[in-house]
Amino acid sequence: MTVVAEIDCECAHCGLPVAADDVDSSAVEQFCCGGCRAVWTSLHSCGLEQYYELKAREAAVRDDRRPANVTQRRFAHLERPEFVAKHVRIASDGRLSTELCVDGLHCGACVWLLEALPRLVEGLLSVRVDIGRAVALIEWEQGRVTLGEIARRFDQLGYQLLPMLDPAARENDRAIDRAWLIRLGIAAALTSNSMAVAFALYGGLFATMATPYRVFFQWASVALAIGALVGPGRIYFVNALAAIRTRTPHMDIPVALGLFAATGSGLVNTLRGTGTIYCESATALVFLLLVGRFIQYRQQRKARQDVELITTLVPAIARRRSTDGAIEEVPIEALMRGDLVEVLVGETVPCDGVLVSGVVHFDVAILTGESKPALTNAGESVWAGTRSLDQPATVVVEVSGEATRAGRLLALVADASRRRPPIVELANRMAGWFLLAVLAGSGFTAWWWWHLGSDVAIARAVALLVVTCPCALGLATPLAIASALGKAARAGVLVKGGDVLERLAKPGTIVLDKTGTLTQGRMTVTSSEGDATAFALAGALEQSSCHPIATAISRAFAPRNSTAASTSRVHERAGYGIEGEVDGQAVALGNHAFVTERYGEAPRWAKTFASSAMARAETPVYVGVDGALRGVISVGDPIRSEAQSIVAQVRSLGWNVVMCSGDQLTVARAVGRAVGLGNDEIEAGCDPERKLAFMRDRAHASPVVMVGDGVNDLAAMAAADVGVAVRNGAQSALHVADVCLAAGGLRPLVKLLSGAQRTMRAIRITLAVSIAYNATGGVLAFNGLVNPLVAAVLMPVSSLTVLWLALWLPKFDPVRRAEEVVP
Amino acid sequence: MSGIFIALPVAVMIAVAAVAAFIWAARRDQFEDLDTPPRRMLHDDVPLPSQQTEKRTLH
Repeated sequence: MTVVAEIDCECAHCGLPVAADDVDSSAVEQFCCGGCRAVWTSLHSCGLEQYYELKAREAAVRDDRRPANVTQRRFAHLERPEFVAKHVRIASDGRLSTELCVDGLHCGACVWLLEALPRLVEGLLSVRVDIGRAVALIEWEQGRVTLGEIARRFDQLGYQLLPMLDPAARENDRAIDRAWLIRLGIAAALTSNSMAVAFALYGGLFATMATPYRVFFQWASVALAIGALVGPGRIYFVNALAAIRTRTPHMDIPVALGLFAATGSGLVNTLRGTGTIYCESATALVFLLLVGRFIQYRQQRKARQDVELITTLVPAIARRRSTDGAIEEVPIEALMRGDLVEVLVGETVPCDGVLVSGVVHFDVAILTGESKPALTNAGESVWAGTRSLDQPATVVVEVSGEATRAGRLLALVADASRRRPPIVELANRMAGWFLLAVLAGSGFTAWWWWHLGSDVAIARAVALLVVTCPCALGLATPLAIASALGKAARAGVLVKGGDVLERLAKPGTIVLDKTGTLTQGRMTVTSSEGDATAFALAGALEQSSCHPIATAISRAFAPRNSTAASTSRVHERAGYGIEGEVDGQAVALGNHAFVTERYGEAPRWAKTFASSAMARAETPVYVGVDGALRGVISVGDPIRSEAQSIVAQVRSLGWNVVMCSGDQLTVARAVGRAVGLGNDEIEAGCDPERKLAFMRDRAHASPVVMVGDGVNDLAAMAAADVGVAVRNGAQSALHVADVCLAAGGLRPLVKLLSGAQRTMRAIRITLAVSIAYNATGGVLAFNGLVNPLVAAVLMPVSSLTVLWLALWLPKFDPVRRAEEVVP
Repeated sequence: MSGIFIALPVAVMIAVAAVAAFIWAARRDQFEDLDTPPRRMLHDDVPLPSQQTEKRTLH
């Protein structure tokens, strides 16, 4: 038995390892896929090879290797009047411009490449790429080039231009961003000036300061604080009032109270010319809390934008055949029940309907998660979002758009994400208690010292209000989470929002998808037994088929020099096998039935091999040459090498592990056994709707985490407390998921779970430290020991400790390169 | 020491000017994209071959 080796050299375009069976020993450059080869060729024919130099320089900084994706679509939808009206701006001089999402951007070399395009494409005036948002601003001249041509040019280089869903909403987001920046800028300027003034005032406490100067500085400080409160700090009062009206505890109530007490007492004491002022505390609080708020807002907005992109599941354009047989491209909205639609090999079906003729294999993994292609006969249903693998298909339209199964699935996703209960963040839960404690403490202080005179009593009560600063509550949580997210990203885990970490704080149930998550999601020859020359012939024959099993066999065995073997009289029997002549020899390969009908009963060794393959949930393929059975090849979707140890590690962190698969029970159980799951921990035969129900059943056992890769997992991911998408998953899965595992394989999953626990512990420590500071400050204020100097030392020191703890404590272990498993 | 009565308002005026400049920049989207420009400036402006003769057929 021979086991096929993987990995030996790198793709000339994307740098990913080239599978051994893809290596072409006669060429200098090797490619991992056709897309990379196409892009490499077009770059060289345009004189854009400099791209690779730039990329090599970038690679030292960041590593994000992905194979190129060339679709050869026509992008006619970018020229339709509806699109133009909504997305394209026309300047007075006849220049057109639009902003489009770019898929496939990964580093600065891409920026250079796309921005160099105007020098090659006539009529294209400029391209400005924003790599952070993955958006390009494209400007072109009407009449000289069309947007469709530009998009095809991007496509040739491996970048897809996608329309943005809601340009108006983007514009609105941008305005909100600007307002935030300006608010922060003003608050920062007021704070720094207020601190400078405070410095002078504290200096005056030691050396006596002449009264006119002191009054002058006090007025300056009060003026700056009032500016901070009515300007950038206004939102705290607005929020606090709203919270009081709806009777819900909110962080902003203690904040507003502290701000008001500090500024109000400062103003009163300045007017009376006696007592102490804490105005710089108020100003600084406004700024520091705004920083925390801003970080939180950015995270939430990013999460929301990502959900927008999922409608790219079904093509926007269909190839409709009119009554006279001519083919025209129409948007899917124009499809009517009964229309005939052509689907070429490799294309996505645009509607739900019925196959008119022939026998076609469809890749239905997107809907069901089944790794094996579905054999569809004429008269049977086909679904939007599936892909034809081997034959062009003609489909009678039944429904299109939102009424299709894929459309309903997306509606389920949207619904599930809406229904997810928002979690009350730790900080907001604590705010109510904090407020009560501060109010009670300050009331008690006033009552206790009333016998010393109302002046003293009120001064001490105000000092307590000011010195007990809710800074840690407001600032620590967002900062700790932001720092954790940054560290997680460096460890190959992209987490889309802080609440995700809070949801993961307690162990619960983790649900793993099978195809593409526990397995690699690609059919590969895993082992073979028999005659190597027969396999070479089989490989040559399978080159003429698009079936995934055929692709796996031809990848593994086909002779590199494609002219060496000439195939003829190829006949493929869908669902059984393929036969034909290779170099004059009759070759046949297929399943058991296909072979017994030609060569009689298979010999014992072949049967043993086949049954052991089937026990591993793999497909045995028998190979016969010139009337004799010569070998058996086992083809399967290999389980990721790290899967078993990951399942064990996740368990050791206290999580229950369950597998939920669209495949049949036998396949699911075979994979489950291999990764160490018991039969009661496996749920097989799950279509997306059942996966969703499965998640809802477990909603009480919070938290439930869904780990998946495909569109069939989307609804379940959205319904789970946390959805996790693995790398190389469907684009839409990446958008719905709360967490994307950017580094290869499942290894980052353990880092995510343990990192989330550590982050929550960091937040608790930070909060405990800040409560200790507040208690100390409260006791000092109660005893009348707080003067502005004590407040000025205590507040920044407590803020700085909290900041330092929040930034330093959360830890995610970076993925070591050597460990990284290449998918 | 009485110079402080002039110095402080002057300092505030400078701060106001700085804030005004910041607002001006923010309104003109100077802070919109902070990731791309630092990469873009590293790209040398090498002239590309065949800028005008380029007439590849598009699929």
